Amino acid sequence: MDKNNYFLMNPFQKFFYKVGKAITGFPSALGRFFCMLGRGIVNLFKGIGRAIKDYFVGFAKGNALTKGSYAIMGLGHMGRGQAAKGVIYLLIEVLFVLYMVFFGAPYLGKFFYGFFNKGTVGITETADFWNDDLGIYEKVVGDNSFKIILYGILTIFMIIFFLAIYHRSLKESRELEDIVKDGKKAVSFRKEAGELMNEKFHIPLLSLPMLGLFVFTVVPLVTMIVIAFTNYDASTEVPQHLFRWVGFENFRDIFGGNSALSGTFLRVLGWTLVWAFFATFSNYFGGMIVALLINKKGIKCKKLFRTIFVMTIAVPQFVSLMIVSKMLAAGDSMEMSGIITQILYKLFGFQLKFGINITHTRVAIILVNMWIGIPYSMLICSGILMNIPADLYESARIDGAGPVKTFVKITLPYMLFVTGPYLITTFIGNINNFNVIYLLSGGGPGDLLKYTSGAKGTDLLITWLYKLSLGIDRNYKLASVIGILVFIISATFSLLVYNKSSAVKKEDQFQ
Amino acid sequence: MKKTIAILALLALACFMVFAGGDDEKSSTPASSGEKITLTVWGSQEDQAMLKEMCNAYAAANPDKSYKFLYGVQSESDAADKVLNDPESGPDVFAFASDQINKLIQAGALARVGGSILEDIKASNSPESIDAATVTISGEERTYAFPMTGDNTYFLYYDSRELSAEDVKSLDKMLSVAAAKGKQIAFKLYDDGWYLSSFFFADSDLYYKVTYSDDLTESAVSINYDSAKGLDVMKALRGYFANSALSANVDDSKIIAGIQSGTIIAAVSGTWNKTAIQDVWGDNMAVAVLPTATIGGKQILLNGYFGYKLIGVNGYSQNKAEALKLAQWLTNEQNQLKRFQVRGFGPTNTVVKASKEIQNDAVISVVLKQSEYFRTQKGVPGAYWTPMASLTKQFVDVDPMTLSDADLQALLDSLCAQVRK
Repeated sequence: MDKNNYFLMNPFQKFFYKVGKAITGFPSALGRFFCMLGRGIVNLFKGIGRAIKDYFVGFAKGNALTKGSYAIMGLGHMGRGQAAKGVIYLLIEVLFVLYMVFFGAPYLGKFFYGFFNKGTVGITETADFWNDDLGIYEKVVGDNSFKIILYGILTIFMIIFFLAIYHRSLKESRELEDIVKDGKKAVSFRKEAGELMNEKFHIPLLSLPMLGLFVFTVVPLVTMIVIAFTNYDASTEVPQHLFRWVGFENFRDIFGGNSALSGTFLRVLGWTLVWAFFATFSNYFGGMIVALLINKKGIKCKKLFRTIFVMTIAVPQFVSLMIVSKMLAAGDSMEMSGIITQILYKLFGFQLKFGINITHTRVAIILVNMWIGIPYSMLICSGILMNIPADLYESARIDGAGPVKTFVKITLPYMLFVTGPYLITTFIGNINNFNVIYLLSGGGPGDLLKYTSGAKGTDLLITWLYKLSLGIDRNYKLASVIGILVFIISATFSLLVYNKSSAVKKEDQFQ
Repeated sequence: MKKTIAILALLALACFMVFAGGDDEKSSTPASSGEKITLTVWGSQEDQAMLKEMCNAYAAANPDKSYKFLYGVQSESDAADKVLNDPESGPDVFAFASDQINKLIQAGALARVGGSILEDIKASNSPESIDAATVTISGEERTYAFPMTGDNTYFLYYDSRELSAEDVKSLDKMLSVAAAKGKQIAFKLYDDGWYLSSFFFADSDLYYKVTYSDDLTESAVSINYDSAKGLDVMKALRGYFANSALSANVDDSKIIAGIQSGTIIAAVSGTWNKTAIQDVWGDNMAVAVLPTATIGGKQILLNGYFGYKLIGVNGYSQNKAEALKLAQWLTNEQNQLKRFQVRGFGPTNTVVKASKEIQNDAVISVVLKQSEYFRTQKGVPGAYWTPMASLTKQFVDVDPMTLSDADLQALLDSLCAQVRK
């Protein structure tokens, strides 16, 4: 289709054309994304290759001091007028060796003990023995598989960090050799330290947040990902038992190896996406409409209306949702049902089967979510609406545009431009919207013919994950697999849409 | 200057995060004689005062040692879950429902009981209650907990002004009386596998059976609810759900509300609702064993689950010997009697069971009567509860009579497929 045809289309055709294009463009966008990922990985390996090459070539070319610093870090620095830096490098090496000998190596050994033959994580099992003196059974606690995984991963990261520092120290040592050869003087420690406060100020400033990010986010995240490759659940609870490496068995189960489980997974995933779509856009447009109405000239008591809407935010969801779920409840008779169910029945003769019929429950949840969510988006929208220059509307009116036209041509593009990233985060947030589902329906009602493994009709992946990992089965392995899948879905989706959104593409054009 | 401040601020933030994370590991020094022995004890909210009395009495009975008790509020139904979150930092002594015992043993969260303590509790408690605290591992019977109460079951409460002792023998009769009066009988057969099982247990041919491996994982599960007899049960349930005098979609609060408003004249419930029901019906509250129901054309007595509450000692307790003695004390004859007198719980101690006081208590004597033929809630397949709760969902969602026998069979097939291993 060429450009002219596009301009001949009516607005609806244009809309569908755009939607169609977005959908057909999806595979190629996905392809580009993975190409980018692939290139990144290739570059990483190329860098490592270069480092290895430098390592050997540098050793062959270097003099005694440089060669010596291959074994004793910082020797090259100490011998060439950078004593303080050399000592720091040496200290790092000593600390690393001590860490490895007394802590890292044992954990790393147990981590890899059964890694390649799907064996246990750890070696000694916990055992009970009879203590005749006390007349009780006592316990000798064995290896803790979970700690082995946690500290094993920590050690692997430590080794990577150390190698990076090691690489840097050797590189510097070789450069120092050249400097000394040229008859120049090495930069003093004082000067280098001073640079950290000026030209390289980002290093001290960011090192602490990076450390925090590493300790509190990266290590736990990698640990949870690794759990997906073990058989960790209630029957292998640590430290009483050791769990095993199982490779991709858990992933295989969810992707068709276990047909009941994979069917359940697809159903839960489907509803999760449907829910996220409706929850996001119903709130977004609902909030925008309410904001527009309140912003309209001639409406009195604007502040009062806003306050009334914001009241739902003031009441904690734990309270309001529990009450709403009681109001919607369906009993055996109308007297035993909730007030809303009774009113609906008396006014329309409609019997709401909340918590009994899956479709009824789903629709009710989406509607209740609008009640909770619209005030938030209304607040955001009113702020942005007031920012739209009034002269735009004025000129549009002079040109003869009606209210619908100004909304579609001015308000909506402006809103989408500003709130595009917000929409993405809301969508991702709704995929993981635990509160509303768990407090309203608890995931119910169940359906024996469609769901297994504890999942029910209105469960999102996140509430299912909660039931799996904290239910009596403690199915950490499956929960971990689902966690990884949720992460992949959210990450791919947000990267794709975010990069396509106008907020990023036309960043320079913001008015 | 600004930069120095920025770095200091970040440093402070990092320190704060590290300390806020704080480690809460307990000190691991075992108590030596003369030292204060600290024991953490968990009990339900309602039991706290009684629990403190019992523990203080224990300390008074052992003046040669000094004790310090730390109390935690945790209902028996949640205790196992909470302990399983982190057995190593759990309480020393805690009460839990007997059906949780396998998971707790698997997690190493229960200390095995042996020697003279085991002999003592075996001699003083009913064999069924000991059985609920015992598992077979490697062909060896191992006891892991102390029986505390035996009343975790359901039976029939009814208003003696509305129904006679003869009426409550049969569910059909009760329903017809209730229907004639425009009243209802509450029996939570919807969304609850625990109550619903009573219909399947009524027929002794229906069973599930779990084979455990040595680490208590389920190595095989067989179930025959999808047999012709199972279909008979489903057909009977379909008929009962279609009866408007049966209120199946209820919970405790709805039952109490229904009793207060006068719509419910009989309810299947347990000891936990006794006080609330008695408040409304007063002396007219009567109790009976579960009635008979028409299944496969025959009148069959409904059967059900019988569960115990047990006291366990944490396998990772630092004061295991002391904790075991305290657990033994908390479940001895004197304290079981006290538990009955204060809270109305049914005892497992044989002497207390035979006492006049118990025999004269209408509720507990019905419970003890049912304990003779109900199934001990033990060895239930892990995957049983969720599909069982969904089994009767369609009976409420649509008119039960529109469901064909084939539909019912499909539900049973799906149930069994999910439970079987």
